[in-house]
Amino acid sequence: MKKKLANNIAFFTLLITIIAVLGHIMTPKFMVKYNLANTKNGVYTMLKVEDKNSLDMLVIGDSESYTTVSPLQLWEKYGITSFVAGQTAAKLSESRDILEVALETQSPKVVLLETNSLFRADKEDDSLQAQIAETLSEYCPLIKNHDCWKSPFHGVHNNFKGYWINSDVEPCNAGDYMAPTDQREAICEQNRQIVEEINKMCQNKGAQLVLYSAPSPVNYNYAKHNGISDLAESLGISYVDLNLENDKMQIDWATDTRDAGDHLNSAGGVKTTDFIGQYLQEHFQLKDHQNMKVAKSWNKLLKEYNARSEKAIQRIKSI
Amino acid sequence: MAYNTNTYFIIFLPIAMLLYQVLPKRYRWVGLLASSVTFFMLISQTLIYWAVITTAVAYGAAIGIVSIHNSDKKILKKKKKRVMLTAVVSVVGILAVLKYTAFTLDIISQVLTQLGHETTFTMGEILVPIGISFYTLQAVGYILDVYWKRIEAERNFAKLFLFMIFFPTLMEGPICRYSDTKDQLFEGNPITADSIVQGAIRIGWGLFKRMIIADRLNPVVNNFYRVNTNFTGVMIVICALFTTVQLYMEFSGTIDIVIGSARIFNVKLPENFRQPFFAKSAAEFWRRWHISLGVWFKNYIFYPVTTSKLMKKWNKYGRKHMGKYITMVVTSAIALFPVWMLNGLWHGPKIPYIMYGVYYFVILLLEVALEPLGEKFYKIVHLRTDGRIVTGIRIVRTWFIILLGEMLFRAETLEQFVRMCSNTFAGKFVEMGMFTELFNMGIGRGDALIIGIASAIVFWMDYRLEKCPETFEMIPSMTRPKRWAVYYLLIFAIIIFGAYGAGYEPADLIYAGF
Repeated sequence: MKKKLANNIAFFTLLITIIAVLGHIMTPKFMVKYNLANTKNGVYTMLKVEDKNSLDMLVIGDSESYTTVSPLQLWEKYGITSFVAGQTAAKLSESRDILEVALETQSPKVVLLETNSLFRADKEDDSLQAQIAETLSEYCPLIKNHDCWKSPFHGVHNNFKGYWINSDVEPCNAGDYMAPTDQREAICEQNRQIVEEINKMCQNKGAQLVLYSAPSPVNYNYAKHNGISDLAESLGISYVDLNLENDKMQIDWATDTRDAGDHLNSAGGVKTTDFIGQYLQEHFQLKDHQNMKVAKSWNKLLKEYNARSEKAIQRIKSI
Repeated sequence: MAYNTNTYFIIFLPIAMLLYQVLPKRYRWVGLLASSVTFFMLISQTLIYWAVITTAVAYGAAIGIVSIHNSDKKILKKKKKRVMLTAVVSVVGILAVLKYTAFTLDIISQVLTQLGHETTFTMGEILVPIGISFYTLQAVGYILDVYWKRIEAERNFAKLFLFMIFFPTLMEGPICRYSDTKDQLFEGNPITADSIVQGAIRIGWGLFKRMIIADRLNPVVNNFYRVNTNFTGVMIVICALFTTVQLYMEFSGTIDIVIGSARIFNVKLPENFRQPFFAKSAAEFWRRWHISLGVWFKNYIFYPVTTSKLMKKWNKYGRKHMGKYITMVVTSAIALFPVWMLNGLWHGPKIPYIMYGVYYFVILLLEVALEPLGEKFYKIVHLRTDGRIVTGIRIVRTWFIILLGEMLFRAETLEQFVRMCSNTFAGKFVEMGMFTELFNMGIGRGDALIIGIASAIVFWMDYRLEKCPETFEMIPSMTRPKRWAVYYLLIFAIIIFGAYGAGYEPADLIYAGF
């Protein structure tokens, strides 16, 4: 009996030790260094390794966010320090939660919220099961980062301050997808409230919230534009719809989309980032950090980014 | 609450174990009953009254059947039969009304529309209690077993109620027979380290199948069956393969959790799966897949039909006037038809389910009818029917039958299934763009690799179980390093490769909806 008890104690002690040691190894720095944070929750890890109060702009939203704003391109051209904290298929409440965590260590001047998730049903799960899962995840890094093994298979690199480089091309016949109409696509009450919460969080931190819609014939139309415009107006915040700015950006739907008009590839991402950079220059006085202390690490990453980005664009051109 | 949730493992199961263990031996079944009622009510709230009614009908009928006395045997038999029939019709009637009313009204509306009467019947939503399809079959089995004098009638209503709603079997079965389960349920043997270890191994194996394979396949399988999808060529074959693998991993994985949970309380439930992909025919597949349902239909539909007076008369007449072969085929058709119609209907009020029953009725009948021809053929080509080549051919042929059947089972509509079948050979069978499309459907290359490796492990384990059915029981008696290695590998495989957390949506307990 005693032997059995000792045996069981030894088994569980070893189990807990292995879990604890792995958790100790999987620090945010380790995860980012070895490019293991390419998963949905990886964005939290990546945010943790950013220097405190080093970011002037944050971008939140779903996959439309991390395919349209490239922080390193903004850095190179304007010296703006930014980070895309977007998540795959993010619900609006998930973006809010990320912003909440980000604002604990950062004091951005601008927060860009990509609007695609405004039309995604968002039933917040506050069940006991969700709470248990959250607690386990919080206290056990192994559980939280359990799917980090998938990172090497992703074929994309998102450690460029949250931006995803992508060189796939699947053309799309966009047609006149933004044909004007007076119709308005409704945004559900819950999502409206979450946008209000996000706005309040930004105001409390002295940041300005800007809504923006990424170019996407699959996800946007004029009725949605009207719905978002109404919401922005009611909250007194700015709204930039990139779907109506194609004469300036010149998105080519034959080459600049990776999945038939759902998301942009890197060729499209360069164009939208250019437009957003100009917009930020015109509307906000964001500091140029290029002669500051942070420049060293940003420039180091920029070199790698430029090499990969160039390679991706060459590949797109060759297709 | 479901068997694959953290609340079940972290809160419900430990409390149920504690409650069971602290009670005196003779009252431990009361602890199980309290846990089962709680489990039921956490899912279906007050709808538990339907389970109470069904149990009351079965209980009353059984007592009634054994209490009827009459010196005239004919009258006695008639009276008992009347009680039995009333009870069976009542419990099946409850199931039919709750599950099939809307479906029946819809069919009637469609028929009337076809006949030129624009009449539509509408009705509010009927709330169906969890596990009704499972406990109803158990209730019918119990009534018939008492009627056929196979078992004694249970005098304690609460004990019968526990048998009906025992929490591990409530959502997905296995469908138990009262005679097989009652002693273990009411014995109250204490939970021991051995019972926990044996139970935990099965639970771990079930979680491995569910979380690593079924849940990881969930988004891509759901995407295959979205409305208006138009996949072609090899994508349809992949769809059929993924559907079958997911269904097997989900259902058999949940059953592993169920058997493991019951095992902790020293209740050994019957196996519901026995390496179904090693079956050499569709008939054998159904002796290995959802075994308890097959056994139920065999005991309570197939045998009563084949041994009925009418069938005996037909057999006699057929053999005399039509020959042995025709008689055998017709007898099989008559006995198989109700089994497979009811099997399809039991799964739910959906045309694809009913057609699934029709599909297997046709396949099984063909197997019966063509068996002599097949044997002649193998004789002509000098192949032994029990040899490796013929066995291999038969297994692969059965896989095709299974894959097609599971695609029909999973299809949203019959039209979708027909479209998918016809699209298989439309256009190019394989194109590079198809694989790009596949990896945009919620599954990455890493996911595909893990699904492949984990499926190979399950296949290897199934092979082992085929050779040695006691494999699970043998694990605790392995040497310590081997044993611990198995435990740690299982635990860390689930933690690291399980599809849970942000970005994952676990697969529904498919059979819990039936």
